[in-house]
Amino acid sequence: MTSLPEKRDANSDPVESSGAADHRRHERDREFSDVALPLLPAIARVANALTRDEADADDLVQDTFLQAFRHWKTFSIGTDCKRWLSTICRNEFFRRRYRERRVVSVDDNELELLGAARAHIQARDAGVDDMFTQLDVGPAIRTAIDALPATFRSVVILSDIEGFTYEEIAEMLDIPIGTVRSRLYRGRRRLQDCLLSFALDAGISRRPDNFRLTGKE
Amino acid sequence: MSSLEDCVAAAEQLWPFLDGALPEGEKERVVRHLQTCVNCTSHLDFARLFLEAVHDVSASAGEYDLVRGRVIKALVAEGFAAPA
Repeated sequence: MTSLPEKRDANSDPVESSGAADHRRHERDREFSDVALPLLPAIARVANALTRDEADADDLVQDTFLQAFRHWKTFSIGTDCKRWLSTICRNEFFRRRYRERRVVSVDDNELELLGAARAHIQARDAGVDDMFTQLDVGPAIRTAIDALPATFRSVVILSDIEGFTYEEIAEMLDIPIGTVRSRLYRGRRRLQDCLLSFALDAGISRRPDNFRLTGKE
Repeated sequence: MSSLEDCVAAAEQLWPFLDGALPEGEKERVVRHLQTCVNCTSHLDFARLFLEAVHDVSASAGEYDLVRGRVIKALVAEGFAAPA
């Protein structure tokens, strides 16, 4: 007995379907390469800010990009991919229980007098208030950020490098907005102190060599 | 004319002001003060330059190559093919 040839459904032509699927996969991979992967350094910084541990951060970055890749079709091209990836990163962080048990901070009301002006006054008094135009302060800032205590570093990175709002940072780190503000304030103060030392060490002070803080020149 | 109290209040708010994190009323107060106080305006300029300098800190070349390699490897196992 001769078997009948199988009927072919015009809508499921295996050659055509395979070609279309390959095309879709190629487009997905190209979009992911062009839009998501260039954000890896930013997401790595977010992951570092969340985990405060390099090895945990690397795991978190990998999980974030895997989740993003698996759900890439839910991302709308043209919207903010960094925020989308950051949300995945945060959700993964909490899902994998990287979060430390934290005591609620009590430093909300410890903002110090004169805020951002203090460093300027000190810089002006020391004759280094033009340090930003006179020096390449980037390496000094990088070193100073790395040296910050983890709680301050997280907030400074998320705010000042990655550009998240106080509200977004509070949600990411699961802390009150007042604590974000306070930690940011303290972290920036420490950075400024480091920069002042750097500028003075670099010798850009406009004061004459025989300048004395008290008495006549 | 600016009082010392106005200057202290404005100085305390400079960073949140530059961060766009002040409520409208407080923001307007800072703006009004800055329009009349040269000293605080110079503090604002310094604060802005500082924040710009921090923002400009970016990853040095190759810093994330290791984790990037790990991520690509894991993605390839998921069916990702990096375009040539």
